[in-house]
Amino acid sequence: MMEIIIQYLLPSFVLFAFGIVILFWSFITSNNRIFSLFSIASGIISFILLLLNYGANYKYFDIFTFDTAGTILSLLFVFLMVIISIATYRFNFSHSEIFYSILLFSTGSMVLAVFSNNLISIFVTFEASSIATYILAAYPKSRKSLEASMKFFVIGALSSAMIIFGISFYYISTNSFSLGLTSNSSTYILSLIFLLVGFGFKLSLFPFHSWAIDTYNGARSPVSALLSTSSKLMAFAIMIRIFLFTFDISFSNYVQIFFIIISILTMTYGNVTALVQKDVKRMLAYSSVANAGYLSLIFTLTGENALSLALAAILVFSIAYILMKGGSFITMENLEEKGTTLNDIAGLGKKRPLLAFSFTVLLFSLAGIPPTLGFMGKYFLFLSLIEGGLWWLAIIAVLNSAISVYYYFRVVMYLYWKESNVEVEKNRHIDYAVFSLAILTLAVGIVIPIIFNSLYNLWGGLP
Amino acid sequence: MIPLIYVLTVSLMMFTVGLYGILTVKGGIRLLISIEILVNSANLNIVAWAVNIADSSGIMFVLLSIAIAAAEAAIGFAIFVALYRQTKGIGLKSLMDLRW
Repeated sequence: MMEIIIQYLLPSFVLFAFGIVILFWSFITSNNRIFSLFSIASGIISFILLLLNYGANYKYFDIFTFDTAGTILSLLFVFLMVIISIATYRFNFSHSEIFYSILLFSTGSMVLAVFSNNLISIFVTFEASSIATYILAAYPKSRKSLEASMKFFVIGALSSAMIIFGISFYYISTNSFSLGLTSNSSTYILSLIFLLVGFGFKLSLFPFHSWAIDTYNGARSPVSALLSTSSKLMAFAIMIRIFLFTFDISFSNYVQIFFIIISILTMTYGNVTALVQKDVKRMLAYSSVANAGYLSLIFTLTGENALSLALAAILVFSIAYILMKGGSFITMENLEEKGTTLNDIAGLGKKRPLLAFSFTVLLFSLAGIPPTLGFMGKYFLFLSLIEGGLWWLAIIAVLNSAISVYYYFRVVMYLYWKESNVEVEKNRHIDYAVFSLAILTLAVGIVIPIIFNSLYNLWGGLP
Repeated sequence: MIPLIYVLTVSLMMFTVGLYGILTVKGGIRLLISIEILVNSANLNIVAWAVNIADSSGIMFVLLSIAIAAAEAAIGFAIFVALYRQTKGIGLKSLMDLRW
């Protein structure tokens, strides 16, 4: 037993170990590039170890479920971490060892969190990654990032209090912390509500979204890339295990109606508000709220066929989401010093052709233009809605997606057809990082329809 | 032994006080205190039930949750101290740079 569990825990323990090594290495040197290389190396080792576990389905009591879906998500988290480390290779701030070690700690906890299958392990891993991300959001300790971190911290602490309260009610009604138990008591319904509010804050669903805009806008761009993708998908994977595999059995109607309302409001609010934004980074923050709406569409489904299609589709959507949203935020890092408004990015197509091209591909993918991966994710997700009989919800989602085309294309228009005399510094590493993400968006988008059938039934821990 | 319903009532009252604090308070430190009260009300809930059904996993959970709440408070104080150095105050009214 012990030997097997070590094999599955090793990918995240490698990240923790390198995080500690980086902290101690800072006594020898304070060179940012060495820390960045350490972080890249640990990411590659962890990625290979995760790949070796691919396809396994192993349950460690009811604490962890090492399933393939979790492996895919954690591969994505580690991949994004490596890309962020490459993009920040030329950072020149003081104490950058803190940035990299906390980056490794948070990613390691996220890797454990997506495998957790018990309210105790879910709470501990979720909180470990949240606490690490509060520090990351504060990172260069400028006024803007501290304000972002402070808002993030207050809302995060409130949401974690809500989650403990929800867990306490779950414990009172079922006498256990294991998932998948049912009860008819009123405390069970209370625990559903509290857990929904707690994780809804993290996923930035509609009434709980306002921290997300300020935090993604104020934090340094690589950190926003981590917060808006990995951190959110971690909360989403936990929500799938809690709501789809536990509460859905007893209250499928209430959960369904509730999530239909919330997902419509989240999509519409995010997309409509993004239309009027002048700042590209803030626009991306609103569009990530809209994407949280698309993600939460999965909770509106019932019926075995629709659900198994949706659980496969959500993996495609997650891959697309991490690649394109992470890449867009990392692009913003290059412009951070001068400002990220539409006028600042004007004419980037002439000054930085490679970066502008990659950013365009990522924006096309976000808008859902056919050959890209973003289209595939949305296509399979909306298909599962039609399969589940919610065709009118699919129409609303497609209309929302059509609205979003306008604000993504406005950015592309500014990139290529407007002129401005803002000087943009050259940074090769960001170019390479964003370019590799853009190429992957195109390549995986072509491969996905062929391998889509192998993505069924990857979620373990189903009751 | 104190009846369970009394303990749960106290925990619910603590939760209300903490939530009211978070929604109304204007200073940073008081915000941290409200968050602590919120977390501890849930801990009290769990511990009361764990004693009631004589189950050790609830008590273990509370130990973990107290440790995490302490870590969270430490990070919170660190953020507020860094903020104080920048703005010479941690009133929430001074934090209005990020708006649209």
